[in-house]
Amino acid sequence: MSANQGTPDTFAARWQKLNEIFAAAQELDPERQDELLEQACGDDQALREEAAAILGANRDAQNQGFLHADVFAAGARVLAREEIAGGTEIGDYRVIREIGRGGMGAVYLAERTGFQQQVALKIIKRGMDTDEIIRRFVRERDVLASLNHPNIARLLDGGHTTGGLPFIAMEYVEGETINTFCDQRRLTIEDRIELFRKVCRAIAYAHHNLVVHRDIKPSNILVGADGEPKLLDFGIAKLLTPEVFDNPVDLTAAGANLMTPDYASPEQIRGERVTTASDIYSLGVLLYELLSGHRPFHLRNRPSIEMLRIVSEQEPRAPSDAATMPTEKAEGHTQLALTVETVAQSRNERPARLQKRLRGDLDNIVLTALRKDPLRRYSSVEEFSADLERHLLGLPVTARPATLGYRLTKFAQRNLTAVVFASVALLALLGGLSVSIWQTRAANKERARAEQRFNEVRKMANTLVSGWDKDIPVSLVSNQVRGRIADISTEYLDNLARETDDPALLKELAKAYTVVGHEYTAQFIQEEKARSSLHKAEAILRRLLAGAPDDVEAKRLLTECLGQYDGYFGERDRTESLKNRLEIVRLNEEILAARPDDQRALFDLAGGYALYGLVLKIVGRRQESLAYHRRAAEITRRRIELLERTATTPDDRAKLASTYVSLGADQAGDLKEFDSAIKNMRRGADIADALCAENPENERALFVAGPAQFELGLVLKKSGDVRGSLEAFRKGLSYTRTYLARWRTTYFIRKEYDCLLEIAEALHESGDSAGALGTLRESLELRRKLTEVDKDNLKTYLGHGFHLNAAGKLLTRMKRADEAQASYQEAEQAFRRVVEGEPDQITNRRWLATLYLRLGDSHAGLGVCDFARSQNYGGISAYEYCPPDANEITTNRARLRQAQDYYQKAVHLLADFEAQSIVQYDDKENLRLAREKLATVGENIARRF
Amino acid sequence: MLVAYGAGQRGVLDELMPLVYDELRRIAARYLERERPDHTLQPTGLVHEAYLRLVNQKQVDWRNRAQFFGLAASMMRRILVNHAEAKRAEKRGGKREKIPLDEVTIVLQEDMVDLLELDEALKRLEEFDKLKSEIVELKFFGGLTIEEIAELTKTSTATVEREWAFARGWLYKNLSERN
Repeated sequence: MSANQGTPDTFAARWQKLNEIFAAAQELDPERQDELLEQACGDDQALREEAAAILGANRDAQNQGFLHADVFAAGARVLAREEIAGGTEIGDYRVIREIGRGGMGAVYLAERTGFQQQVALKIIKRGMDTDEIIRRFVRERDVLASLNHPNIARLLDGGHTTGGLPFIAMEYVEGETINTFCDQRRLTIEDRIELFRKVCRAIAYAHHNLVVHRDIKPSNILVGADGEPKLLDFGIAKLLTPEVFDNPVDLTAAGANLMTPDYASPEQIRGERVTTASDIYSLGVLLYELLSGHRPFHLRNRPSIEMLRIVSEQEPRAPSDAATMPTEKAEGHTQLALTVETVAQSRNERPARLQKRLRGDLDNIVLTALRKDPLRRYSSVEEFSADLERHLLGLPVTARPATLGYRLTKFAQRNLTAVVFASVALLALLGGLSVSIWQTRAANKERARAEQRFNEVRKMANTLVSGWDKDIPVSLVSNQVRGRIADISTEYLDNLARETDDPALLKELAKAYTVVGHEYTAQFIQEEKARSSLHKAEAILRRLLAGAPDDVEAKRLLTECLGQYDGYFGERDRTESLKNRLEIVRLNEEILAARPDDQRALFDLAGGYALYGLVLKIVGRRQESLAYHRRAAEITRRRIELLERTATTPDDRAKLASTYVSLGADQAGDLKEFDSAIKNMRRGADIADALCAENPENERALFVAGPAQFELGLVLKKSGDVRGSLEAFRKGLSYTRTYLARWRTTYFIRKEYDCLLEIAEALHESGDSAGALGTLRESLELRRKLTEVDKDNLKTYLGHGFHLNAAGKLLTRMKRADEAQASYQEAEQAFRRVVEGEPDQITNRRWLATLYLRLGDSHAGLGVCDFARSQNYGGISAYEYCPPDANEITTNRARLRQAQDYYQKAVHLLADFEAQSIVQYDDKENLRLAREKLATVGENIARRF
Repeated sequence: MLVAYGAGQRGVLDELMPLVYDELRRIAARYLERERPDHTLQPTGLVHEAYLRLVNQKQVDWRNRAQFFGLAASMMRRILVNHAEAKRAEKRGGKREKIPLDEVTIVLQEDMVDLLELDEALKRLEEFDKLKSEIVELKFFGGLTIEEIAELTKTSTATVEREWAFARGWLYKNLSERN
């Protein structure tokens, strides 16, 4: 029976049967075997013969000792004599001597018979000729055949030995390895760089031909007498084809032996995907060694786990430092012991000058090529080489841990008009932005410099990102520009964060991240970036606090970061929000305990309590929230006591004034302690008045005076003193306009039309309808003007919506229903714009829902709630829905239909909250009201027709 | 190659080849050095020693012993086959007048084995009964005992013995028929 007999199925079955018969028969004596065969095979004569033959053959084989030889001895002899002797002919070549031996092959110097030409013959070793290795060998041949470059050893020929092993004949390069060449000729740094750039040219050429060398090291680069380097050994080179990308070679611990670990990139050692960036890394190691005489790491003969750790985590010393390292054991490739002197001598330099020569640009260039992250190295060999050229020409190099300065310049060029206002801040910084990361770890002087630059960066983050208000009107900087600057800042901060572990610098970083996080939620909305930025800040601070639990500054920064996060994302998850707000309170308590007489700590703690109370109220825990508001008021009172004792300067007095106002606001809010509130606010307003009288140029005093009157006006109105409130609002308006004449900040622009709105309401309540309407229109005009100027800013439309909403309420009370509806509709447009811009923000939809309720009421002819009741809901400018008293529907059918529509929309939005279990504020009650109204309107329509 | 290795490990095994090769060379040198009448040094003992050395180097994560012995056996086979091919080519090419029989040839002649024919037959056997060809490779070229092969191929010694006997008979019959 032989392999090609029968169809596969029957063959397999027969083979199986044959095995079974053999097994059974083998147990028996020869004579009984026949019986068994006859029994088992029946009529199948062929099977019987086959079985008998194999049984017999096995007996003969055993008797004759077949396959009993000690082939190991034979193999050992072949192996021991494996070298191909001089004079052996291989193809058309005659071997002269062996010149090298690698993993799978050996290289011989040979001569082409009949020619003078010497070649290098590379032959696979006996026993190594597995299919895969032959495939790889053939691939090297193909790779070499596709490369034709003066600095790459050329492929001349290929063939097979008599034993059937493939070989290739390559250009024989007579020369020395590149480092020996450099050392023996005492090449200067400049000459070394020039030589190295020729190697770069060869590698760049290979990369253009989609070939990655993967094994760049001195022993693969020979320099001939003419000074031209030649690249050898594309033995483990790979072609950058999609197929290779899809099946990265498994270079795990075992594979690591194929390459020389000292020159291998971290991704190569880890066995990850290898790209051209790996060659750039290996070139970096080579340059490191050519310049400094040392290698960045010594990995040979280390356990693989340690190798992994070193190349993945350890930062190499700068070459300039390595060059001046004390004596180290001589490396195999050099005859000279590596001492500071020999290294310098072989570079024709004195040690101190060599270090100076390498410091700066060359350190930067080499370390850029050696970055752990392939993406952060030079993007191409050409770029690497070009940077070296720039250095040789004395031009600034691109190698830098961060290139923000450069990129901002480019960016500024493209967006000249847009950034013109920011440019003062920018230009001051561009010179200082080229922070060298390793400098943060270097000597003290360097460190001081690094810190200074770092501060500039932080300042930049603050100025560029949140300093718009004062110096640069918001409207003049487009969101696109702000977004780009925030992006670039983030990248820059990320670079710094990766490299520093200095607590002071880390705090600066956290601060900057918080500011950037704010920026991402302020003007243009990029939630994920905001979240990420704030989380980075939080992580940095928590890490710092874990190490130094008493760091007050870190705690304060953490409260700011958490507060920023909660301000935007808090509404998404109120459980998390309460947790964050409580942590802020706790941190502020700790800060205060550490600094009992710190007015800032008192201020922050009071704010912490007030905001925690607010969130409690939002989730419906009103009773509890009052306790926290009381606690906030208490802390504020302590702050007043402190300031009363200590405040002597006008600035501190202004602070005292605003603290009285805050205390009043705390008391007037949910606590409804109007009398105390009015008393405290008057005290604050009086102090501010006095300060302004003292010095009308005092910005801080003016900054407090206007808002103090405004807040006072609100409380007076709440308490029913309309006349008193009118006076306060008018004073507030006057201060605000004085302030605006000098400093046009958005906050005061807003205060101006807010004052006008409140005045309009007060006038209306006092019976001055004409004055009220005129003032309201003036207020609306200002608001619309701001929106027009700031039309690219999403948040503008929120403010616009609020104001038009308030105007709508007032106009309704003025019995100007049509104008009121138009006003509401304008608010609706604005809110919808915000909802579309921030689709994930819940609160925006909530404002829209309450607006729909008002629109419904307006169309159903129900009016609005009156002045007195509205005070419980926060007054005219409040967003919360105060249901009107009237329930008598007095309108025509068309309007009723519209009302029905609006109620339907309100129900839709509010029911959605309920479905998602994000019920807050008065959502539940409002939904009930909306449904009730919808039903009433429906009945009404049905009844009438 | 042992059945136990999935196709996916093929690449890894090839990466290990240079290491196995170097070890085999080292063993071979020691073997020949100690090969004197009064010294009976078992080659398998040496291979085991080599294996342990590789394991202890820790640079290599050997998945199992089978990997190493399988590689060593198949490498030994290729070394011998390649050597025999070279001899045959020289004979045919007639580049030299006389080919002195070398020790390798002598060893195999005593065993009445034409290595190249054996290799061919083994390749055919491998096509339809992989286990048998592996057992032959491990036993004859790798010098492993029945017990060791049973362990490496995760079968019983009875199975290995049965398979070995059948394979030997089948090969002997096939090689005899040719001559």
